[in-house]
Amino acid sequence: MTMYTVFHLLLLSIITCLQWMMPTLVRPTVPFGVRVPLDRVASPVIATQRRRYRALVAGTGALAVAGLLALSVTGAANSGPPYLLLAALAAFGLYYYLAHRAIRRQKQAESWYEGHRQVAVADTSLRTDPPRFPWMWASPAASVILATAVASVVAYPRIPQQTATAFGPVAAQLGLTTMIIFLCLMTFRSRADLDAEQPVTSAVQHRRYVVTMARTILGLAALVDASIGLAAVLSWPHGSAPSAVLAASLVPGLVGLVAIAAVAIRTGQTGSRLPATDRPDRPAGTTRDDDRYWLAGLFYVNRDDRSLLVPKRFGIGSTVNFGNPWSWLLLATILGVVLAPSLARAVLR
Amino acid sequence: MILSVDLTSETPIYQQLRDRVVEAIAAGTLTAGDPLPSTRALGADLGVNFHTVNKAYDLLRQQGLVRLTRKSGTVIARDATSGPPDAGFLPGWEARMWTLLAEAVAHGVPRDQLLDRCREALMRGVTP
Repeated sequence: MTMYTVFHLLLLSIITCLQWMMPTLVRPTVPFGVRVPLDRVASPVIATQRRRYRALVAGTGALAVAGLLALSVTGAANSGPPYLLLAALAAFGLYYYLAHRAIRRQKQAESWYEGHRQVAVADTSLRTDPPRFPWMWASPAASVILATAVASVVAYPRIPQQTATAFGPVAAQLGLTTMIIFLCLMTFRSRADLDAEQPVTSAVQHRRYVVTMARTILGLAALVDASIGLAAVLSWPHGSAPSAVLAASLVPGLVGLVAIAAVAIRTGQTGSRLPATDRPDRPAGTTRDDDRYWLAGLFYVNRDDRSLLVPKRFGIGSTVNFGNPWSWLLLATILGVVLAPSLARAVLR
Repeated sequence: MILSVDLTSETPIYQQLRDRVVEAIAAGTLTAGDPLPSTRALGADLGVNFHTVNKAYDLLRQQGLVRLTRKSGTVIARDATSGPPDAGFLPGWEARMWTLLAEAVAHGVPRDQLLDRCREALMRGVTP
C-alpha cells in the first residue's frame, strides 16, 4: 500500500467520523440545517433522520475504505483515491440533504413555530468586553516560518538555481499562515448565534468556543507550515525526495487535522457541547425561524445582514454570507492565495 | 447583558431596545459609565437594521440615560445612584404612568391587585 493511499485512507476516515458525529456536534435546535423550537427537538422525524443518516454515512464510509484498499492492489492506486473520496463526500452531502428536506417538510406541515414568541437575542458584553484573540498562539507558526527561511538561506548554495525553489516554501508558508490568521480573526469577531432559549449559557459557550478554536487553528497553521518546511528541506539535496520521505513530511499537517477534529468533537459547533454555566439562565423566547435565509441549510444568503461570516448550521466553523458582495471578494482572495503557488510555478517555468 | 427583541410584537423594535436598556439600568445590570455596543455591531448581532438601533440610542440620549463619548462610543450616562432626576422628568413620566394605570383599571384589574403588582415589580427591579 502506498503512502498516497494511506493518506487518503486517513483523510476518508477522519471525514467519515466527523460526518457521522455531526448531528450531535450541532445545536439540538438546528438538526440538519433546519431551525426548530426547543419543544420539537425530540420529534420522531428528527430521531429517524439522524439514525438513517448515520447508517448511510457509516455504510458509505466502509464501502469507500474497501474501495481504496481494492485500488491499492490494482494499477489505479495513483489516480483512483481522489475520485473515491469525492464520491464519498458527494454521497454524504446527499444524505444530509435528504434528512434536511424531510425535517423541513414536517416542520412546515405541522407549523412548529405557531404560538411561539420569536425573538432575536444578543449579549452586549461580547462586543463591549470581547474575548481576547490568542495572538501568542501564532508564535509557533512564526517560528517555523523563520526556521524554514534560515534553512533556505543556509542551503541556498546547494539548491538548484531557482529562487522559487529556495524561497517558494517560505512564500507558501507566509501566504497560508496569513490567510489562516486573517480568517481566524474574522471568525473570532463575527456575530454569535445565541440560543434564545438558553441565552446566558450559549453566550458563555460561544466565548469559550471562539478562543479554543482560534488556539487550535493557529496550532494547525504551525503544523501545516512544518509540513511545507519539511517537504522542502527533504527535497532540496536531491532536487526531489522519494515519495515515502515526502509522505512523512505530511505527518505534522495530518496531526493538525486530527487535532482540529478532536477539538471540534469536544466543543461542538459554537460550543454547544461545552459545559453549561452555573449562572442563572431563563428563556428570552424562541430563537427566530430564519430558515428563509438558508439554502438547503448550508448556504446563507441575506442581503440585509452586513456580516461576512456566520456560524455554519451543519458543520464546524463559519460560512460566508453570500448575500454580502464583500463575501465574494473574500472567497476570491482565498482562492487566489490557494492557487498562487501553481500560478507562480507556471509563470516561472 | 442579554438583550432580546420580540420580532412578532406590535411594539417597534427600537422601542423594545430602548425599554430593555432602561430596565437593565433600573436592575443594576448596566451602571453609569458602562459602554453599549456600536449601532452597527448590535444591529448585526440582532439581525436588525443599524438605523433601528440608532433610533433607540437617540431616544435614550434625549432622555438623558446615555451619552456619546469619543473614546468609548455610547455609554450609560446615569443610573439609580446618580442622584435625583432632572426637573423635567417627573411630569412626563407621571403622564405615562397615569395612562398605564388607567389601562389596567379599564380592563378590570382591582386596585389593590394593581398596587401589589407595582410593589412586586419595584422589588424585582431594585439592586440588592
